[in-house]
Parts: sequence; structure tokens; C-alpha cells
Amino acid sequence: MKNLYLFTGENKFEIDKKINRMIDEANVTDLSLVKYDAEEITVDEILNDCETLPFLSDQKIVIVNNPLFLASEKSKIQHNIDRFIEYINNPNQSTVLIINAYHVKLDKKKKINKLLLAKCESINYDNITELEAKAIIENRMKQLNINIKFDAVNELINRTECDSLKLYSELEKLSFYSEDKNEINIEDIKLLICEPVENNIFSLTNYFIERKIDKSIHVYHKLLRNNNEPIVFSSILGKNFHNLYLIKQYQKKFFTEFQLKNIFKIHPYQLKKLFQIAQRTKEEDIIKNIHAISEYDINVKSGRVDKYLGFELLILNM
Amino acid sequence: MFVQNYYNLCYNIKEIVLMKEGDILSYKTLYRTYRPKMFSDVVGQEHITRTFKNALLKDKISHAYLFTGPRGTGKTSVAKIIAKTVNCVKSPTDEPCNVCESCSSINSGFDNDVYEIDAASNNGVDEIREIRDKVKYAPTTSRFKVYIIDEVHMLSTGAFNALLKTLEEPPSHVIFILATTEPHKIPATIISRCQRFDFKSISIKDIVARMKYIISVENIKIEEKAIYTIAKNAQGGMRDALSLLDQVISYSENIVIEEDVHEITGTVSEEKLANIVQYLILGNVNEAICSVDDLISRGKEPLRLIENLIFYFRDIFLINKMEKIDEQLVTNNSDETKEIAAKISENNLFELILILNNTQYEMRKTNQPRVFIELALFELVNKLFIKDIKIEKKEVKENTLKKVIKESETKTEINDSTEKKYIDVSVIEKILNNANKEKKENLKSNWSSIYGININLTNIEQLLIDGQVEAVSNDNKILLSYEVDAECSRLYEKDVYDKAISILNSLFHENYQIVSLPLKIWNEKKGEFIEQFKNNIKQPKLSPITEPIIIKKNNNKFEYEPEIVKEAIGIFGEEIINIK
Repeated sequence: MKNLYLFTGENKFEIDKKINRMIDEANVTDLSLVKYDAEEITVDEILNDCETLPFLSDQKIVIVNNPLFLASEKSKIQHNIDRFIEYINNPNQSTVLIINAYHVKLDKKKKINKLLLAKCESINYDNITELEAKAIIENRMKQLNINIKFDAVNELINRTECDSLKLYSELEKLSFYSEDKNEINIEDIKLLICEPVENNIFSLTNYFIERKIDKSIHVYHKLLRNNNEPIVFSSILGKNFHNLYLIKQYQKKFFTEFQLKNIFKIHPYQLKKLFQIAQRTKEEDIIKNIHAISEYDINVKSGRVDKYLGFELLILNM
Repeated sequence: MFVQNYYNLCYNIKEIVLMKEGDILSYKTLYRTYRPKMFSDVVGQEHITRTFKNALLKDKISHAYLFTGPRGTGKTSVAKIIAKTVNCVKSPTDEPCNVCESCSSINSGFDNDVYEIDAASNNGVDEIREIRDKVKYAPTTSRFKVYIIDEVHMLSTGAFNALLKTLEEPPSHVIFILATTEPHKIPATIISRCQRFDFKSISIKDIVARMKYIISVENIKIEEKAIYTIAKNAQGGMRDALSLLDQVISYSENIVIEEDVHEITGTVSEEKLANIVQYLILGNVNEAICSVDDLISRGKEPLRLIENLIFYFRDIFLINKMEKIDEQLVTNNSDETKEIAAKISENNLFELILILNNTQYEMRKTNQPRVFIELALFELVNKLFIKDIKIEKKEVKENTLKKVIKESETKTEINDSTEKKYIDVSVIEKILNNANKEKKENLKSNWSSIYGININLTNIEQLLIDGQVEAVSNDNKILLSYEVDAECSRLYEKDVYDKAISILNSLFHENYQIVSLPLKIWNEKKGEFIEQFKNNIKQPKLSPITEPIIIKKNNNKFEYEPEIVKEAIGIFGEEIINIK
């Protein structure tokens, strides 16, 4: 085992798995395994620990979580970076230092990061892609001997948003649910798997464009049931339409979806969907919807209409 | 003195304890008495109870759960049942026995290892830190320490962070169950640590069934209609339904009738609302005002009344617009309401609701709300009664219009420039019988790439995009459907067709052919085809198409001109403009 490890990426599930495997392999006692949160403990203290000898085992593992001092954001506590650089250049041979930079975006301009990337064994785990998610689901279902329909797999991926942690947790739930079943269809998925709010509002955007009143009303009430404020999703809805309008303008200038990825800071999957919707929709329709939403906003805020009724009228009159 | 006080205090505590156990307290509200004690009692959440039963039987318990869902859907109840099941003497089992020591102590709320924490009142960091410190210690008597944290969204940010630390590495003897009505207020980091379960709101049918069971056990006299009204009012929450039932029972004398429920909730019955609207449709303002006055004099709040009216019209609107009526969404859904709904036109409805809504807005600012209701009724009558006559006039106009159209159609038949074409149904038959689903999906998903050909689409590209790809056969024949008949027939014009084909083939590098159909005919044929196919006819035969497609022969050249080009031509004259 090396003395320095750096984990980066968004895939917490894989990072945790790897770290746990390393701990198992190292076979250290509880006393030689220390975890620190770099937002609570200073580097000085962590390094003091790194420099002491392991207790009752050959090696000592020190895990540093949440190393915000590596990112461009400002860390809550003051760290002695110089000493950290010194240690990285000359690590203690009996200590394994694991820096778990999950969800932390390393600032590549910083000297410390260049050094870390050069000296550490750096491993990057990115979020799984749709294809990988599909493979995971199908494997698991094969193990359980369950038939899963094509559309159900898609819905499951859609609802877990390619987040491996969520995906595994939902798969576990599914495995219990389908104990004495041998088939899972889309209805089961809809019943059991939670759907993120943005996803719902997103489908609402789609239904608005397609003028599907039935479905819009159902989605709207589903959102209400979780005590969401209509004003919140009217604003998200407005933002979606705003993005649609912009995408439409870019499409006129032959921008491809790939080029827009850098311009819009939204989820790539959402961008893909919005891009498709924008192709189908006329500009006037988008503008009409934006106006209707803004009017709703004004009416609610000036107390002219009840916020729940107003939203329904917005849907009915679309 | 001090000792005496201390003794008194102890005595008081003992008394409270006794009361809580139900020895002294004689009446327990219905929703507490009938709180589900095992999974099979839980109503309307089969997907959740099923999952848990299997997991518990296998003894595979995750250490953190998050329950979300509207109030009164059984979150805390299920949490308690889980606590009982894991600690029951019979565990691993799928239902708690409710008899053993552990079960009964949890039922009475005195178990040492099951902690019910209301996060609404214990929302600080300190309380959560306390949990964090105590979590380490092993349970005293049971297998698991269960922490049920209710209303978890009320925790402060600091408390959430403290909780997160505990959730990240909980000892193996601890189960956390977090319950909330507002999942969007919970940090994503917490959610990702838990296994999440969404509780659905309970359907009216399920609430009614459960209430009927309670009514039969408790021997309550109640009208069938009243049960439904209560269930509708509860909006998917069992607790709301049962507390309302409790209130109504103590309110009414012998037998509970529907009107009692309306009196308690301050609502107006659907029947009365329907009556008022019926009068308005008939143009009888007098009667309408009388019935409104009658309701007010019986103690209904004018503001609630107008709200009920607004929602009545809203329900009518929904009935008109929706294909399938969901009784959870549309509470006023009797046959009478449906009849009224059929009489009122959609455009009108929107105006009606706006009138009522404005009235409500005005009523809040005045001391004489009653006058505004009456005024609103007059306005409604104007809209409901007179507009109906107008509709008749419109119909007359439409009829004459249709005649004119027919005449012109007959004329056009004589005209040389059009041609009638009967589509040969066998072509469609062939396509459908050789349909290739994969090709269709492929083409459909790439259809929009037609947009990429040019900024300003030519009319032919536009024509292609407007069509819906319905089927693609193995020999690359595409079946397109069009909502507008005229568009469909354009594809039968020779030059248009050739251009369309060349566009498609250069785009997809295939050798496509197009058959276009009006949507109406397509739907008909599709129905026929599916029906025969379902009856196991391998090669379904379709009936011939009787309606001809009218094709213009000498099409005057129409090229697509974008607005801006037209404007430019207007300014500079056609000669100067060079369109690239």
C-alpha cells in the first residue's frame, strides 16, 4: 500500500467501497484507524497524528474527509497549508493518509493540488452513466431471478438520476418488495421508487407544452401532497421556460446540444430533454407560457387569487 | 416542607403516568384507539408494508429510514410497528405479536430503547448531540435501539449536520427512522444516507372502508352519505377523517347525517351548490339569491360560501377538461354536477371563475360581503343564461357556414384544378403487416433532425415535420399521419412528393417512400388493425377507405417566406433583396 491516496469524483458509493476495502486489506486495529473532518479539525492536528507511530499494528490509516481547503471556496477554519505541503513531500512511512475529496472540486491552480496529483495515488470515481446504471440493474435482477421490463428500467434510472448510492438503495428496496414476484413492471417502479421534485416539475413543463391537462393536474397534485408551495414550482417552471426560450434562440443559430452544455449550467439530462422540447415547440408558445406564469405570480403575490386555485387555472387555461 | 413538596411531586407524576396508561382517562379519541398496531392494519400503503414485511422476515434491516408523505398516512404508525417487530420476542418475524413485554411497553410508549423525538420542539444542535452521545451505548433490554424522529424537517442546519455524523457510522444496534411531511426541506446528504419510502395519500375508498369497520365496532349510527362526505373532507389523511368523525359524533344527537358534517366543516353540500347553479342556468336569479340567503341565515360564512362556489365551478371545469375523473381531485362529482357540466361551455367557465374570484377578493375588504355575493350571482346569470342563447346563434351560423362550405366543395369538384384520389387500402395493409418497430423508433427519434437542415425551413421540410411517423415497413415505406387534411393531400402532389423524398433520403441515407394519411382515417384503420390482430388474425385485412383526398393539381407556387424577408422586401423592393 502507498502512503498517500487521493479520491475525487461524485460517486460516493464507489469511493466508500474502495476505502472500506483498503481498510480491510490493511488489517489495522481500531486504534490505528482515524477519521477527520477537515472542516472541524485543522491540518496541524491531523498531521500531528500522521507523524505518530501506529499502535499495536504495522500501519496506521488516517482518513481526511471534506477537504474544502483544496477547493477554491473558502474553508471555515484556517489551515497550515505549508506544513501540509512539507508532509506530502516527505510522508511518514508507517502512515497511510487517505484524502477523500468526494464532492470537492479541486482548484487545479493551487500549488498544493498540483503536488497532490503528482505525489498521491489519485483515483477518480465519476457518477455512473445511464449505460452503467442499466447494467447494474440488469445484473441485480438476474441475481434475484426477476424479469424487469425495458420501460421499468428506464423509469428507474430516470428516478434515481444516475446516482449510484440512490440506485443501490432503491434496488435493495425493490428486492424486498419483489420477494415472491418474478416480474417488475413500470407500475411497481412508480409506486415504490421516490421521484425527485425537479423531475416532476420537469415533466410538468413537458405537459404544458403538449397541453396535456389531465397529466398536468395529476402531477401538480402529486407535488402539492408533499407540502410544496405552488409558488416554488411556478418559479422553477418559469425558469424551465426561460431556458427553453434561450435554447430555441441558440438553435436558430445552429448551436448543437454539446455546445450548449457549456453555456447552460443545468443537468445534462435535463438539457437533452429541453433541447428536444425546444425543437418541437414554437417560439410563440414558449412566450405565451412565460407570460401566463408571470401573470400568475403577480396575481398570487398581490392577493388577487388563491395560490392553489390560481395554479389550477393556469393549467386549465394553457 | 421540602420533603413534603417532593412527595407531592412524585405523587403527581405517578398519577399522570396512570392517566397515560388509560386507567383514569376514560375516553381516548378514535384515531388513537384505532392507530394501526400491526402491518396488516395499515391502510393504503401496501407497497411499503409488503417491502418491510419481507425485509423484517429476512432480518435485513437498514439502519436509517426516511418516511415522507402527507399527514395522517401512517408514517409514525409504521415506524412504531417496525420498532415493535425488530424487538419482539418472536423476531425475526413479519408482524409484531403485540403481547410480549417489549411490544406492550412500546404500545404504551414507555419502552426504554425506543425513543420518539418530536423534532419540532427539539430542533437544536444540543438535543441531537445528546442522541449522538447516547447512541453508542447498547440497548438495555431489547435487540435494537430505535430512534423515531418526527417532523425531522424542523431541525436546524447545525442539528442536521450533527445528525449526519451519526447516520454516517451508526452502531449496529441502532435504527433511525425519520419521518417528515416536507421532504424538500431535508438536506440531500441526509436523504442519501437513508432508505426512503414515500407514503401515498389514502384513497377515499380505503378511508371509507376503514371508517365503516370502526363504525361497526364502536356501534355508531351514521348515514352512508355522511361517511363519504367525511372521507372527501379528509383529503387523504386517515387521522383527519377520524378526528372529524369524532367531532361529528359528539356534535349530533342520535344519528349522524350529512348536514352535520357540513356544519362542522363550514362547507356547503354539493346538492345545494348544484341547485344554485341550476337556477342560474335557468335564468332564475330570484331563486338563486333566495337559496344563498337561506344558507347565510343558517350561519354559513359568506366567504366560505363563495369559496365553495369557486371550487364547485373549478370541479365542473375539471370534469369538462379531463378524460377520466379522479374522485380524489374532483370532490363534487355527482351525476347532477356532471349534467350541469355538460351544459356550460368551457370558455365561459374560465370567465365565471374569474368573476367569482374577483368577488372573493372584493369581499375581504368590505363589511357587506353578502351584497357582493348577490351581485356576483347577477353577473353569473348574465354569463350563464344569455351566452347560452348566443351559442345557439353561433350554431346557426355554423350550420349556414357548413352549407356554404359544402356548396363550395361541390363547386370545387367541377373545377379542373382539383382531383379526387382514393387511397388504396392495400398499400397501408402491406405497410402494417411488414411494420418494423425498430426502424420506426429509430426514425421517430431522429425525425427532428430535419430541423438541422436549414435555419428557415422550406415549406416541404415543415410539411414533413408536421407529420407523425406512425409506421415504417421493412421495405422502407413510411406511414405519416396529418391532423390537417390539406397538409396530407399535399404529399400526393407529384413535385412536393419528389422533393420530400429527396430531402429524407439525403438526410437519412436510406431509400424511403412516403404514404400519408389524414389522422382521422389513420385512427380508424389503426383501430381495425389492432382489433383484428388481437383476434389472432395474422394478416389483418382492412376495409377500403371511402373518403377521397382532394388534391390540387395546379398548385400555385408557394414558397416559405419568413417574416423578416417579407419585411425586407417591403422596404427595399424585390429586386434588391438576394435571399441566400
